[in-house]
Amino acid sequence: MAPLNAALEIRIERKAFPADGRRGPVQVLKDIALSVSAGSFVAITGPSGCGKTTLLNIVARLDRDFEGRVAFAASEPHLAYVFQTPRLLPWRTVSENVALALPPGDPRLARVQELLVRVGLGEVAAAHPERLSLGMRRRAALARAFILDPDFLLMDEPFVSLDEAAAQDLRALLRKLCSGRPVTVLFVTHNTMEAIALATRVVRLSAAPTSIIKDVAVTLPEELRTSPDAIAAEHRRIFGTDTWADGPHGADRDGS
Amino acid sequence: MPQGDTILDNDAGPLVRLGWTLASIAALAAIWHLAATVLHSRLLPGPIEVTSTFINELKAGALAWHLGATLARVAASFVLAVVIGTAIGLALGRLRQVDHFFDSWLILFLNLPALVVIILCYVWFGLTEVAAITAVAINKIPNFAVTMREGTRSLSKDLAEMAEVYRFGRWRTLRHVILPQLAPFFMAAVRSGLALVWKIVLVVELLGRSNGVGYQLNVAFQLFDVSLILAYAIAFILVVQMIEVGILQPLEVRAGRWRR
Repeated sequence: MAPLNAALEIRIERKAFPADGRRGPVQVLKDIALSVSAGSFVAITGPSGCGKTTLLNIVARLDRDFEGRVAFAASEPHLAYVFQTPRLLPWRTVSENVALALPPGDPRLARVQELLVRVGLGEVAAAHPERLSLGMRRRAALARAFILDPDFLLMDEPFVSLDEAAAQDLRALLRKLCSGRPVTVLFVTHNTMEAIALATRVVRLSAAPTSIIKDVAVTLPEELRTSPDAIAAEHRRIFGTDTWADGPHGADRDGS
Repeated sequence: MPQGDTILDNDAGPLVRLGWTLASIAALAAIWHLAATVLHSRLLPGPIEVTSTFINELKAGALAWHLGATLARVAASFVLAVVIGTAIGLALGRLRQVDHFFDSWLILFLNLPALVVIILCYVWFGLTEVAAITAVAINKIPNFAVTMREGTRSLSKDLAEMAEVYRFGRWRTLRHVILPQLAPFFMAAVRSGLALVWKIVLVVELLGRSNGVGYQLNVAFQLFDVSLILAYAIAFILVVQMIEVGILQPLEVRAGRWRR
C-alpha cells in the first residue's frame, strides 16, 4: 500500500447494486479516485441518481460491498455524518439525541447544552424532534455531528428542502462551526451555488456509471463567500454558466 | 394514538369526564333495575340483588379465591405467550427464509379454534394446571408473533445506519433505536392479547379446573343462579378495567409522550 499524503484516499474501481429480481445489476460508480487533504472542504455535485450518497456511504463504511479501497491517514478517524433527512430519534429529546452520539461517560457530555445554544436550539433542548421545524431538526443534526469534534464530516444535501433564507442561515452556521477546527468535509449537494459558497474544492460527477468530470479549487476569499455577486462570478468561472450546473430538481429548490 | 382523546382532554377537565362516565353507568343501572322490576323473574335479578350477592361472595372469600386463581392463570399464560411470541416474531421479521418456511404454520395456528387447542391439551396432558396454561398460551402466541413480525419488518434502516455511524454499539442501539420502534406493536399485541387471554382462560377453567371464575360460572349455570353469574361478571369487568386504567393506559401514555 502506498504511503498516504492525504487525510483520505478514495479509490473505487467499481460499485454496483446487485440484481433484485425486477432489474439486473446496476453499476453506480466507476473509477473514482479522490485524494482529500486534511482541513479541506470538498463539495461533490452531480445529477440525481449518480451515486453521490453511495459514495458517502462507502466512506462512512456503511457500504462495504465495492471494489477498491478507502484509506484514512488516521488509524481511528472520528467520523460524523449529517444525512439527507435529519435522522433524529423521535422518542428522545433534542439534547438526548445529541448526547447519544457520545460514548457513555464522555466528558464532552457536559458541553451538549452549550453547543445547542450555539446552534440556536438552547430553548428547545428538552423538546422532542417532532415538535420542531425542519430547519431546527437540521440544526440538531448538525449539533449531533459537531459534539464529536469530528476529523471527517460527511454531509449529504444537509440543507435541502429549506427555503433559501433558512438554508443561508444554516450555511453560515456550518461555516462558524467549522472555523478554527481541523475538520475535513465531504459535502454532497445538487446546488452548485451552495457548493461554491462553502467549499474549497468542487468535484463534479457524471451520470451513472459515475466518474469524475471536473475537479477544481474554489478560490473565493472567505469575506466574499456571503456575496451573491462574487459567488455568481466564481460559478461562471468554474461551470461556465449562471444557473445551477445540475439544474434545480423539484419545486423545493428554487431561489438563488 | 387516539387523537380524539387528547382533544377531549383539552376541552373538558378529567372531573367533567368522570361525571359523564358515572352518569352513564347510573343510567344503565336504572334501566336494568326497571327491567328487573317489570319482569319480576328469578332469571333477571336487579342490580340491588346482584350487589348483595357480590358482597356476600366477597365476605365469604370465594370471590377473591376464584378471581385470584383466574388472575394467576392469565398472568402465567400471558407472560409465556409474550416471551415466546415476541421471540418468534423477531426471528420471523429478521430472517426472510425462516419466515417463508414458517408462514404456513403460523396461518394454521392462527386459524385453529381455541376450543380445539384446549381440548387437545387436556386430552394429551390431563386435566392439569400445566395443560390449562399451555392451552391458553398456544392460543395467543401466533397473534403475538404476527404483530411483532410486522414491527420488526418496519424497523427503520435509516436509524440503524445512524446508530452505526455514531457507534451506538449493540446495547444502546437496542435500547434507544430498536425497542422504541417496537413499543407500539408490543402495546397493541398486549392489548389485544389480554382481551383474548381473559376469555380463553374462562373456557379453560369451565372445561377442566376446579377453581377460577370460569369454574364458578359453570357452577352457577348448573344451579341457574343468574345473580351469581352477574356478580362474577361484574367483578371480572372491574378487575379488567383496573388493569386497563392502572397499568396499560399509563404505560401507553409514557411510551407515546414524544408524539405530536
